[in-house]
Amino acid sequence: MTAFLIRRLIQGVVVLVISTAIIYFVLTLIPGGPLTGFRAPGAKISPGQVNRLGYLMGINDLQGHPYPWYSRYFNWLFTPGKKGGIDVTIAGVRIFGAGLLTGDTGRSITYATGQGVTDLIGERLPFTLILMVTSLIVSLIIALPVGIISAVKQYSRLDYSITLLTFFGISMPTFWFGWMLIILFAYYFQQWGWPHLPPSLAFDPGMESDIPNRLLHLVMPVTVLSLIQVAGWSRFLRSSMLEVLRLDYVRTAWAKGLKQRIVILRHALRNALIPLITVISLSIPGLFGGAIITESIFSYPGMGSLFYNALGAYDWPIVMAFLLISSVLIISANILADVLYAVADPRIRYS
Amino acid sequence: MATTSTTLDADRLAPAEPGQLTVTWRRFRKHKLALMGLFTLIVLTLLCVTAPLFMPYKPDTLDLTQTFAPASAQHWLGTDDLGRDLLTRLLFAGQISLSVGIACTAIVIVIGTLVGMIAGYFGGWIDTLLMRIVDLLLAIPFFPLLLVLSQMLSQYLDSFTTIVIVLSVFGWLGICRLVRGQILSLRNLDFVEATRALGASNSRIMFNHMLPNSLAPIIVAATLAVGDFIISESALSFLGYGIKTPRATWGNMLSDVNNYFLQHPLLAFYPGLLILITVVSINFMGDALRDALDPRLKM
Repeated sequence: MTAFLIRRLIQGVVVLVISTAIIYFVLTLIPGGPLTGFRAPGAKISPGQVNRLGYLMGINDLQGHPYPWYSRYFNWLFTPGKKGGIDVTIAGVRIFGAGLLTGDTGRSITYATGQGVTDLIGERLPFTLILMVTSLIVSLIIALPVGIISAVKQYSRLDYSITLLTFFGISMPTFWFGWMLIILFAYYFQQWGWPHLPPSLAFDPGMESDIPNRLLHLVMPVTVLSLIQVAGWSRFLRSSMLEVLRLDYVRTAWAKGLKQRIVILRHALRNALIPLITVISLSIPGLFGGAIITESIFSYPGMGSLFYNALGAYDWPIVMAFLLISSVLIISANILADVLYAVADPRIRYS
Repeated sequence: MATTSTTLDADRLAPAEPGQLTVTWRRFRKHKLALMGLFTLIVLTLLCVTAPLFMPYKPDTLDLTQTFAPASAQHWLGTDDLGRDLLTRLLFAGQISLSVGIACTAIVIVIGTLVGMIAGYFGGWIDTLLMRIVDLLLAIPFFPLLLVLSQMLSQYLDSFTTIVIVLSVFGWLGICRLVRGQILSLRNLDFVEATRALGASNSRIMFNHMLPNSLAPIIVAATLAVGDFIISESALSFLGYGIKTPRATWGNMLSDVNNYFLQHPLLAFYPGLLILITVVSINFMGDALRDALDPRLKM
């Protein structure tokens, strides 16, 4: 098990390095590169300033001649001589500089000029994590019983209604759903004098540590973010359970006279859950896209809305940092899912 | 005694076997929801495609005297903030959403099937390399990257081409895995060995034998992919990185009403409703196709 874990961690690091390299090259090598928005006709920024911007970002020198791609990449990882990183002397060799490897993700150019990107993202990351983790947990809590009941009572009216609802769930455009929720639960409820849900932000001003208030603000964003997952996972769990329930060992359990609940929960469900782990880990990258949309609609102060606003302002350090952090989170989630899979299915551990 | 007739009498007496298309259609017909979905889609597509012929308004005809008009005999669904007829805009928007969906699906099916076939058939280091690439691309946060790519490419290309390219970049990964799985399960069957013994070339085996046998899941995946791409296109357009206004698409019709959707909720209701109806119909059809094409079910 430990060997498996170590192997998986090393694989994860390799994947992380390669995918961050891919992200970097996609962003900087696409024709035009990250400064295209500034060079567009109508941009109120002079070519000299664009060059200087590029110099600060490590893309070109002060005259505007771009550096070769490999030195740009290595400068991004570690720029010797840049302040704010590390300054150590190992075996008589002085290592002095900063870069991605020392945690320097640059400074914001246009969105919040001059502010460190790490700080900007740092103050928003907890909000996004709360949103995502809550929606994952809520999705699981709802999808598990729905999938099980749907499978056990196959072809019943309940099963058909659930199937219908899940179809609508996976076909729903989330941004529209969010707006419909806001219109109904925030706007109309307020007009009718009923207690209503807050349509934006994470907490009312001044009530930052008030947990019930935060939870109220989370209700609608989490609902929007979880809808597709609940629909997809419960459908998958239903078909997975149906397959497992037909197998011989389940029939043996029935024949032995075990109670229905034990057969379903302790025998069938455990085995039906295993492929669900893969499905869940595959839906995590989609969660970041959903978070961007959801946070923008609900003005939720998370990383997603920061990314969206920064992209509109052509603020590449923030954009890059968001992509990096999401990659790290996704890869960590994949490793976690693999470990869970190995824990759940002993066949994987010993292969 | 050996006969000299070319057909046996028993053949003439047995009823003709229905062709595969007929069998599939009969099984498909049993799913009522899918039939409704098919009907809805046909009606919607016909309306959207023929809209320029019968609608009295154009999608960008402004009428500033009639902004936010409620439903009336002149404007069946009312008008938007610039007095443009809502129904016309919805139908023209449908043209774009549907064509983006179909175009992306076509590209993605071709790429995904080719890569999947090559990976599955040749195996070895080709397979490992291609699958590692696919796994890598699946670990990247694709949606933010789509936004960035769209912003970059839209400097050079028109928004329709941009969005088709951007959506296709990541869309082929699922099909690739699917096809590879099919090929892997077919590779060891006897008929492949027999074909090879008869001297067939690799490409002949792949395209003439394995591909037709893998068509069922590809067809299902293609159907479902159209729905996925319609939703992705509306999401990108909603955020402003897809088709740009004033050219209407259901996504950007939604973002257009951003400032006043609370006062005029219907303007936000219709475009999203159409997306929902279209994609639900597609999903019903795809699910029914999956059942209808399943070779394991016996009629």
